Amino acid sequence: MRILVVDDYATMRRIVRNLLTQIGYTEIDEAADGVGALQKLRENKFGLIISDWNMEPMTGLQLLKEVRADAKLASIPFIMVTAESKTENVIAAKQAGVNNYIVKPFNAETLKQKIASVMGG
Amino acid sequence: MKHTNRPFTAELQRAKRNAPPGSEAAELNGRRPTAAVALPEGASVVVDNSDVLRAIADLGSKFDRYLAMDASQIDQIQTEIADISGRIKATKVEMAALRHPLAGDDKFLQASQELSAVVSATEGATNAIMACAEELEEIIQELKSSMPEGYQADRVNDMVEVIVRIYEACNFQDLTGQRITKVVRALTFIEERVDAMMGLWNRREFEAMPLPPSVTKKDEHLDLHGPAESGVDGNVSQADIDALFG
Repeated sequence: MRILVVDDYATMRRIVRNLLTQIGYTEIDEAADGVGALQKLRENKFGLIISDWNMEPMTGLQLLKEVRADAKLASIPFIMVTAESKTENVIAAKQAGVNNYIVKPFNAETLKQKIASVMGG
Repeated sequence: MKHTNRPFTAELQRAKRNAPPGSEAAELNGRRPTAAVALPEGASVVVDNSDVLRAIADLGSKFDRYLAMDASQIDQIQTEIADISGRIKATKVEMAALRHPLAGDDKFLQASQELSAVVSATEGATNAIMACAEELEEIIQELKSSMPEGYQADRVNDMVEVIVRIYEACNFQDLTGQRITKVVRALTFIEERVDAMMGLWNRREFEAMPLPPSVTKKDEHLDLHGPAESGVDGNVSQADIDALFG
């Protein structure tokens, strides 16, 4: 399964990539913001999106809405990995169609469980 | 000098009212009274003006009371204005201490730059840690392939788990960066508010205020600035220092 990791912070993308590798996922692509992510999503086939929220110019929530509004992309599972832990944020993401939500800092086990949960494993 | 006791209009009217009909005073009705017209040569009207004088005296004492009351209130208002003025001046001195127009260093800018440097330094350190962990991971894979199954292989697997914990621990960098960014934004907000407050007053006033004391730590006459970027504000690199020592 090919996974798209979206984060404006290169170090964080590297951390997520390494953790994904450790838990057994090797096909990983990266994007630095929502705009870049949309472009990659339209060019390639992905089985999962793992995205940060706080990015510019397009945030993770905007990316999520764009994905859900696009018939070709709407079914891709979407996990938000973010430091935003306020209830209203989580609710807004859920209402926008996020499949799961991980609050930073997180560990490999949490990531593994959430992926399994959204992939129906 | 001969003093002529000339009556007031009110006195004449009162005399007329009290005079019997047909008398000379009563005939003054409707005419402007003048001593020359109203009174025969050498005559004078004796009237009682004690009521008027008493009324004037009452009025005078009332004025005195009002004036005495106003003076104490004015004193109080002046005291309060002086107090407000003192407080405004003290506030301006504090504002000048935060952002003195003639100060060589900008504390807000300095603080923001220091915090940005913290983010850069931790990011660099995190990437270095990650690179080391990735390299270790490669070595472990090589070891695993060359080692027989058993205790040693299990211990090698333990090392892999340790490496995962290193990756997890590196999460701190992202969160630290976000927190520091929030602090920088708060500093910028405070700076803008101080600027706006200073803009409400005459900015030149602040130039005359005492310069704030330096927050830099001192050792004798030397400022101790702590960590700084090389090549910025007169800082030199280790290579420059080495060159200096030959």
